[in-house]
Amino acid sequence: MIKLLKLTLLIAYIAVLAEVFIRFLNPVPILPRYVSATDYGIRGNTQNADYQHVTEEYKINVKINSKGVRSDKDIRYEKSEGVIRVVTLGDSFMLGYGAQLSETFLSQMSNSIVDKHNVEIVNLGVSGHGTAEELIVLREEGKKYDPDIVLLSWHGTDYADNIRSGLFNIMNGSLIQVNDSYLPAVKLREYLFSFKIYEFIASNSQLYSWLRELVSEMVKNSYEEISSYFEFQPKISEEDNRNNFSTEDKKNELAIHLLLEIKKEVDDIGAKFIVLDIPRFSSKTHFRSTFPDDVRLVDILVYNPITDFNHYNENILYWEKSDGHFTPIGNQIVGKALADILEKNKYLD
Amino acid sequence: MLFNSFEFFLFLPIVLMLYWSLKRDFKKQNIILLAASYFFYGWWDIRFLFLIATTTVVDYNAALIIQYGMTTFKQRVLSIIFLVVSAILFGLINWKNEVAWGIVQNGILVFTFLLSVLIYLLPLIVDWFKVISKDKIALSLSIISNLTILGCFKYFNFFVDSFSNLSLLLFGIEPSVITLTIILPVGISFYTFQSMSYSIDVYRGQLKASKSLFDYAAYLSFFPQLVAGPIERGKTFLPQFQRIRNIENGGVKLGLWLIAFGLFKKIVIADNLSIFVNTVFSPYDNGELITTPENGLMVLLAIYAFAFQIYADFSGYADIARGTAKLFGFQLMINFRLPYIATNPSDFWRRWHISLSSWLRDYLYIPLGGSRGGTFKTYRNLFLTMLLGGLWHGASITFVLWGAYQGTILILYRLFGVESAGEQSKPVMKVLHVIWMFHLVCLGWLIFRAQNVQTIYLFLEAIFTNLFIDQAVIDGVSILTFYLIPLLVYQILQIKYKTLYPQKVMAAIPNFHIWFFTIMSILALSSKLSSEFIYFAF
Repeated sequence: MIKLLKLTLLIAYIAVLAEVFIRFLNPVPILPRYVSATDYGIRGNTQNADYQHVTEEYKINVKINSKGVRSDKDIRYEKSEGVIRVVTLGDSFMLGYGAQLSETFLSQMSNSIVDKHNVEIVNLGVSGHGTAEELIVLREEGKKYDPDIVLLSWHGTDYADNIRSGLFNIMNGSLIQVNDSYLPAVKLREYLFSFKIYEFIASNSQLYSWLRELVSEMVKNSYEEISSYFEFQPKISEEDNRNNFSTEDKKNELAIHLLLEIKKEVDDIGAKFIVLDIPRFSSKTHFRSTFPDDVRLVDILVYNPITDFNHYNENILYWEKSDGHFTPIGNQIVGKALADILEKNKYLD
Repeated sequence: MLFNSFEFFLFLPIVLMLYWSLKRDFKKQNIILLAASYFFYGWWDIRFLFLIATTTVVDYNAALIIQYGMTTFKQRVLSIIFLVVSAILFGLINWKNEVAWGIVQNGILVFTFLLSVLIYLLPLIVDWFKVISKDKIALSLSIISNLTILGCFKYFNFFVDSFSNLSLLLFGIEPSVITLTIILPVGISFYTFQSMSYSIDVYRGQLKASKSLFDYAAYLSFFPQLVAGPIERGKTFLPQFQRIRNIENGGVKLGLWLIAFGLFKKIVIADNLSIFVNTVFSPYDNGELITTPENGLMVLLAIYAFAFQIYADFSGYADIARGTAKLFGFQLMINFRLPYIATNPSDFWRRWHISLSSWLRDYLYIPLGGSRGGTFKTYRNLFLTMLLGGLWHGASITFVLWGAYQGTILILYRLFGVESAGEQSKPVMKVLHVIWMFHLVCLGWLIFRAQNVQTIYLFLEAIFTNLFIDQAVIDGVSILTFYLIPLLVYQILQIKYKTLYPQKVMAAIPNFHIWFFTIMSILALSSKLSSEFIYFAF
């Protein structure tokens, strides 16, 4: 019994020491991820969740409504008369990590056009989603909102996310859904979050956040390797194999097919489609696009903010020290530019 | 395979388990070590293994001739089988599906045949020479073969290019020369020097030649120190392969600590400092940028950072090598003894890369005459030794210049009669000597790190003309301070307790905290941009 007590005390002491170490020498942002399983087999924002993100650069509140949308009010599926509905699909950038709700680029976009148009935004962004999950969200949830415009955010991580999820594959040149479900560690997360003490640690401990990132990075890397080698690779057609398609080619090809499929589904419901290509930044003044460069995507309207960012690069546009999402200034530039593009392309008429 | 790789952390426990499952049978353990070492080395490029097998067979036979004047039929046949099997596995099978490998395969086939004939007839050949003694012929064979391998794989292109440039400079003619694309095998300078010293030690009567080919092959390819040393001497290291190994009391703990601390030095200090160093040096590396750096202070900081990067990188490797060897019951020599507290150049070379500096002293400086032939000859020998020491690091003019620089400062200290400067001084004076010596070493590191002579000139110009404090300098100082404080604190403990392993005499609680800090740093502060060890290239 005494031995057990001593061991418990030692573990507690090591945990406290590790927390101090991380806070002083390698501060990490506390970004608890409130995601749960949806009825359609993938991750969605936990309904009615209300939480904080704290980093050394910012502190924000995130409120999720009863349908898993980042919003401080509930939105009915039925669209009111005269409303232009914009359904948005994407990952943490789209959800608005790093910004208060009023500061996100969606709010900024809405503010810029609210005088002329009755616009309603339904933000279906979920942290961690790739294009494959976004396609499913559009099919299962997005269409219910009867959108007039679908805005999708593209991020460089989508290439790997699409492979890792294993939801879609390309067979004989066609996109095929090969799995119904992708819920990485969601059940475990839901179980752990049912304990108040766990929720407290997840919302306050930098050690926890660091460990979660460390483990998730390791799992992601291993999963991608395994998925790419054992699942994805053999399913590429024989012809592709003969042409020596590299893994990078396959990632690219899957991304292109997914984007084309989303475009097709949006066209089918008579909505308009636009993609926000979120640039990767390597420094305060260096940005690069990761959007697939392919002639098949020529019909998709893509907005890339690199030119706009270069005009404002004396400002801090990404949270460089924390998690790399847009700062309020970055959001403002993107939001205003998106509003201009929607106007210019007559998407709001 | 890199020490700081995931593969190594799977590889090591498996080899340890197999190895210790044969506890009392050191011969079988040697076979396990040989197989593991070849697997470890072949992980880079399986073709390199044929080279090390060649060196092994040649020096094994040469040493037997030196010692006994002959080799037995069994020894010769075993050597030939070893060579032929290596040739088939590592050379004749085209593992990498190289298009032009057929030519190389033919070359390997002819080479293996000729070398096998030579090995078989070696006792007869040395008998034919009546004028020269057998041991001299065998020693010559060993040295020539080692230097030929080094020359072909490390210096061929350099000498051809230098000859071509010289001809163009002196006569305005660019001769038609062939430059082959030869890959530099990892760690070639380390194991050829180790193998050469074995033959020389047998020749000098300081060591008995190994009768067992496998003992010798395991000794030469011992994976913990194969690719970046320490360059072990046969007389201290080979006998460890010829007896039952035990782990000394506390050996596992010390071994694990050395591995952890070596990793800390490599992936926390060296890899993180390399990012800062490269931001200053890299733009100049291809020789196209010819403007003086804006701020000399940044250059100075980058040179200081490189001094600690190369130290943490190389001594980190040496620590991991020693720690890993300890887990197998082997003792490797200490390669670094706090080099940056040296007070003069001779002191520095007694602390920095000790296995190389002592090798150069014993097998080059002393045979050249050492300090026995008067002042001029001593200076000449010192200069030549350091010049060749510089060239040992690589086929580049900057390494030659670095060697010349090291030779020059050694000579200058002797010339002014201050070769032992600072060693017996009072603490304040000693500190001043240490600071001065550190800056002399840093000037050497500028020459060493620069990829061309122009960079050395531009950086020195910046240091002496453009010095100002800006935000980049403040950030640079913060980076340096952040990563160096733990290293300096540990070195202060090493000095205070007069041991390289102060935890041995420290209480349990501080000991626990040192372990905790090291492990947490490896997990949380390691650089995302992991790189190979610098000395793998030498």
